[in-house]
Amino acid sequence: MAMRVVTGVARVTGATELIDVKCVHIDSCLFHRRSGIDFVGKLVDAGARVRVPTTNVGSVNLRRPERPARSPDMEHVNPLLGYLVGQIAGTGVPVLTGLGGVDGVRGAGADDAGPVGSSRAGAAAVPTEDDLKALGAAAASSGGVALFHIEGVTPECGRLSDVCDPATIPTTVLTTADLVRAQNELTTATPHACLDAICLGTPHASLAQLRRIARRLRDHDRTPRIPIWVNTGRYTADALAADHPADHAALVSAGVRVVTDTCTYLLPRLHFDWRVIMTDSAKWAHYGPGTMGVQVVFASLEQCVQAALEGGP
Amino acid sequence: MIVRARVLHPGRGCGPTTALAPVSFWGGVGADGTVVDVHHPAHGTSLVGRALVMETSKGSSSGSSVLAELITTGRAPSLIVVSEPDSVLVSGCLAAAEISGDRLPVVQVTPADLRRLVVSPALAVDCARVPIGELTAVEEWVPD
Repeated sequence: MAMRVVTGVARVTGATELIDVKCVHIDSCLFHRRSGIDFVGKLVDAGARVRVPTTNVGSVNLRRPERPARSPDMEHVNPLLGYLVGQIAGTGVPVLTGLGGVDGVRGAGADDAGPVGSSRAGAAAVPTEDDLKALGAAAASSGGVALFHIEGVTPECGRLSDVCDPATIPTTVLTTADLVRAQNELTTATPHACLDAICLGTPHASLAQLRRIARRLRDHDRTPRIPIWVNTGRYTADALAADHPADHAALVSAGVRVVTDTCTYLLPRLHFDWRVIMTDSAKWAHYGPGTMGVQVVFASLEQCVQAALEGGP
Repeated sequence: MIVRARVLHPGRGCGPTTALAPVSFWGGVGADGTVVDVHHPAHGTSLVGRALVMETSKGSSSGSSVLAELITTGRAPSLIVVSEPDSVLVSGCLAAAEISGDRLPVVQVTPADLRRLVVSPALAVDCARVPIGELTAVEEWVPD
């Protein structure tokens, strides 16, 4: 593979022979999304080694790495939103607008970052069942929210006026700056900490989420360097094995530990050696430090699987 | 119109012609295949599926990684015609072919022929089985 690339470029430039070298600088090792990792991963998996002293240029300071997971993945805002809603609403009943594609988040006082509901081209995506599950679990963790309305999403709340008097209820505008704050509050791990495990599926992963994890792992065709744990219901786990054997096989071959009917943060005695955990769940991030004494890195499901494959955040 | 060309990377493709001043793929072309260099005359132009005609790429050699990412995500031009032996573009094509099997044709023509090709509304190249450095042809493509 390496020789094909070298001779290919040599022919393009009209070289007639290759010469011995004493050292090499490998260019273009910046992170440009997946292809760069896949390319190097393929070399590594094939057992490739450098034969002469070699340098490269990267986009990360390896001696003082910053964690990309510090930045919220804007496709993964629902747990963060839920976390913030819980903080604000406490045990009250929050009413959310701007999530159902009806209009933007209302109210005054938005800062420069702009309202959350209009963070993507003026229209937030309508939340899925899994999004609502993550939002509700987070709001019930950081606050005591037992019931919430979302205008244009939950069936009883077609319009804001269906559930309250919009003129009299106190309004808070959440911005991307708030999401970043939530992300930072939920990420308690120190910058140099190494991950011990990835914990997904809190609340229990749906069939769609299990399949999403399986697809991500299959895409890479590489064994995760950090163990992945997933909580799900026993019937969901059974349904995956029975109805989607290829996805089930992908989880098995990647060594994913599927825990049914409980949560990984409830099993502290099994994981006494865990120090730092990455999770896509604001609920897990909220409870894990207390129940297990671990530090947490909060990230999206995609960032979590990526970190598992790459061996770090 | 048929123009003789030298294969810089084998592949097969056709698409509407986009003539471009030299661009740096790194920092100049976004992940969606659009020219994002605000100083470039074609700023905002999508290169996805296009028969890209330009003298050469420019700027960072990391353009190879950006092109490889575009190829593996299906957002690359359909073919590239240059008048200089551009090893940055070709190394991106070689890397993408290794990891995904997707092969983007790159061919080199004379500067005079490059100017002729620019006026063709669409171009096609089929050099999937021609080794690098050997001869092939760029043809005007007439969509069905």
